[in-house]
Amino acid sequence: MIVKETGFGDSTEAFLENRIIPGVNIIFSDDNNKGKTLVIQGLMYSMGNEPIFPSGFNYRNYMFYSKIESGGTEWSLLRKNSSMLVLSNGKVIAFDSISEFKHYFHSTIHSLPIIRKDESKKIADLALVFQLFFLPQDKRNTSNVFNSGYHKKPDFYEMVYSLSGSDPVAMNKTQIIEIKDEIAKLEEERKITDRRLKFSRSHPKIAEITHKSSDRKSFEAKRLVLESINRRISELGKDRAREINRKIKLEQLISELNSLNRDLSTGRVICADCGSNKVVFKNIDYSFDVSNQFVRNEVLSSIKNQIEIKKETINEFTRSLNYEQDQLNKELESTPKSLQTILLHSEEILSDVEIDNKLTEINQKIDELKRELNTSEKTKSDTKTANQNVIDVILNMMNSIYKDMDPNGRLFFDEIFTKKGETYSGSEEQEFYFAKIVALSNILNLDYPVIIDSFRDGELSSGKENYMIEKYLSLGKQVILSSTLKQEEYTSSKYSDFIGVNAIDYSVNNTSQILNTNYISQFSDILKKFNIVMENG
Amino acid sequence: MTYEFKFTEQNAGRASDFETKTLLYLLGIDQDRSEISIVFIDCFNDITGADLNCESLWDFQSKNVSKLNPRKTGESLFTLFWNFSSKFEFRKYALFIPQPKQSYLNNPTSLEFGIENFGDNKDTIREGLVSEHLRRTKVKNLSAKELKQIDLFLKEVVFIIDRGEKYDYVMNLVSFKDKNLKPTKFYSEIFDEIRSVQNDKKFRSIHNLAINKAPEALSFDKHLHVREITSLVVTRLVGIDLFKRQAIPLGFLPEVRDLDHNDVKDLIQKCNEKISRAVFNKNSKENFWRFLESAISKLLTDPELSCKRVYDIVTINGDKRFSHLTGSSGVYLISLIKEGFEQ
Repeated sequence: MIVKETGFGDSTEAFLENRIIPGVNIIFSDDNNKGKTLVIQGLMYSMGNEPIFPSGFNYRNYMFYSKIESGGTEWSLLRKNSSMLVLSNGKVIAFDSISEFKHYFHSTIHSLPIIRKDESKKIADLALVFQLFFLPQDKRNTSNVFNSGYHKKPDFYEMVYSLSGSDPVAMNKTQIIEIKDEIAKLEEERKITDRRLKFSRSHPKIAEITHKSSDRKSFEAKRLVLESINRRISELGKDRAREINRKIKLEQLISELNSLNRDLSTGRVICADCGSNKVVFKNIDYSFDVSNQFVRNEVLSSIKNQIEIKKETINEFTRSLNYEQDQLNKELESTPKSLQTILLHSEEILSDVEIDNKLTEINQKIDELKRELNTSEKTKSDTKTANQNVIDVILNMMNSIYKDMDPNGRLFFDEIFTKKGETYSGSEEQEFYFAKIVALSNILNLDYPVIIDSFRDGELSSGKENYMIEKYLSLGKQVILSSTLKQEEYTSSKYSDFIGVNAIDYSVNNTSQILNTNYISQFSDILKKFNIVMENG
Repeated sequence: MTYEFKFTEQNAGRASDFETKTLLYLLGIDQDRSEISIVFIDCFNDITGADLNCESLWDFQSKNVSKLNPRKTGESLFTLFWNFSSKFEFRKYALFIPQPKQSYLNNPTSLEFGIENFGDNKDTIREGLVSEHLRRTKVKNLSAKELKQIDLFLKEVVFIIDRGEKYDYVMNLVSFKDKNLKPTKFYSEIFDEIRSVQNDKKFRSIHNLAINKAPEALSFDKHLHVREITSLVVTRLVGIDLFKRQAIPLGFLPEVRDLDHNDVKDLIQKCNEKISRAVFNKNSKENFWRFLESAISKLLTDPELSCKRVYDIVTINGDKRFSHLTGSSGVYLISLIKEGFEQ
């Protein structure tokens, strides 16, 4: 992916940068406030980045434009706030949010890494992806991602892993727990089945009897009798429990009703004129009480009566239960011992073959699930190793670039972010970012330009500056850098002397006035392609 | 066209059982009872019935004197006559009295009759009325026109004889299933409740106030709506049967159609529990009566509606805070009332 043009403005003022080449570009000036940062941030913003404009610049009022090329196709992008227009092959597509645009970007312009965030797969946000190759002048932070908030360090790692080819969606925690549960269930079932097998083997006679057709009939009859007794017992038990429950509720009701109906005995309102305790509020239209003593007494005595009836019913259920249990015992007594065992276990008795089949089936299922789990664990650990390898390779390269540039340097990188509180001097920070961006670009084979606003920030020595420019040239990809020169080092040919560097001098721009009327007609021509006609244009 | 409250009882004593009987006679026995929606208590007279818009009025004077001779009878007619000669029109002028001595009457078994049943005693009655008129209005003589008025009045006035015990009158108020099976004490207690409310209404003095139209008298709060009394009796009848009945009321069957035996039992018990809480809760009076009155009126005007439908209509703007009668328990209560009315 390369950048071809960028610009921003509105109907009264505009700026357009169309001198960018596919190789190394250095935008420089002899002073600050010549608009370098606005152009570079404007470019990133037009592609969907979060706004990191210098304070005082009201980006919400302007439209940001860029033309990029990806996969041999040209795309013109135009953004105002969170609305995006994309123009390609004469067609304009509109997006109301950057998320929408992100999905289009991923599916049509340039594929984006898929990361796992909040236990689900997600296309990495543009603002995160851009941090792979873009270094802003402000809000730098060596120990974290820029603008950390929604995006966090682990997301950056996830993105790096994803780009190195690891699958972000092996198996998530809940799936693993589900599988483990399933296995536990099956193992329990296996135990029971196993027990049945043992039972049938230790009672060979039973198996024999159950298969003799002559015995089968009497056995069946007996079984039916026992089953019906058992059913009655369980039904009676249920009915009795419900009845007990009802009785308890009625008992509670009595005490509740008594408290509901209690008059306040602490005092009584009386009429000051006549002394009557019948004080009526005029606005109440209803003269009568909801009940009288007679009704209340009747209700309470009916409830008590009901409770008595329930007690009797419960006793009756208990008697019936006892009776049925006696019946069951009698039935069992009149049954030969061996048959008793069969009857009691009739549900459990299957033929050897049946049990065997079942066991095999369970075993197969358990094996399958365990395999699945192992594969996942293995993939997970494989992935983990692979991921660490990627980071190691990146770190190696960062360290070797650093050593190469600064053989006496005291830094050693053991993470792609520094530890919190670890502070770098101005030039060290610049070296760290340089090493990191180059290493990421090379190792991950990134198809993005390298964009660094203020690439020699922090009093970088000329030797190191030259080293960096040479290194950028050797990358063989598009690089866009910006740089502010001090008066004494400024010559207009400072960078054009490097072979292959496209030096763009912003010194001629009026200070703090990059936007001007000269570009209005060009800018409005571009807008016309998006079908936007400016009112004053 | 003013009506001045001149002869109301200034020193209103406790409402007597007899006055309550008069009230209940009017609502439960009088041939015009179905037209009466409102009863004024100690307003135009001891008891005055009115239709919904107070366009028709029925005037009752209650006189509980055990030995009521013809002269006293005549004296008792004064307030009725006063109303007769007022600008307001009344459909009926009635004197409610205990059984007079047999000798005073031509036909002693008649319970409701005109003055002719007094035979020759009617002149003494007329004398009594005239002398009471002179005494109350503090004049020496009545004009010929006034005497003519008295004659016209006496032809119209009706004498009604008290015909039973307190509970008889209450039992007559509503036709409801099994009402004859309830103990007399049950009805006596309702009778006493009504008397007590009647008593409260008597306390409000309106002496010397004046109105132009009968409905204006509603502002004195000396009246009862007939629907209040109906709701009262129905609620008491349903109330004493809570937790007693075995069968599921027909109107409730759709609610239990898909439940098994045990679930039905639980649901019915739950409904009984909630309704009993409602009738024991002294603080939910307004919500309770509002629910009851609209349910009863809907059931009476539209007997074809299902209980669930009646419930939905009653609660459509209803106060959801009245949780005791929300959902099944409300439908159950309505189905009990519906069944009672259908007897």
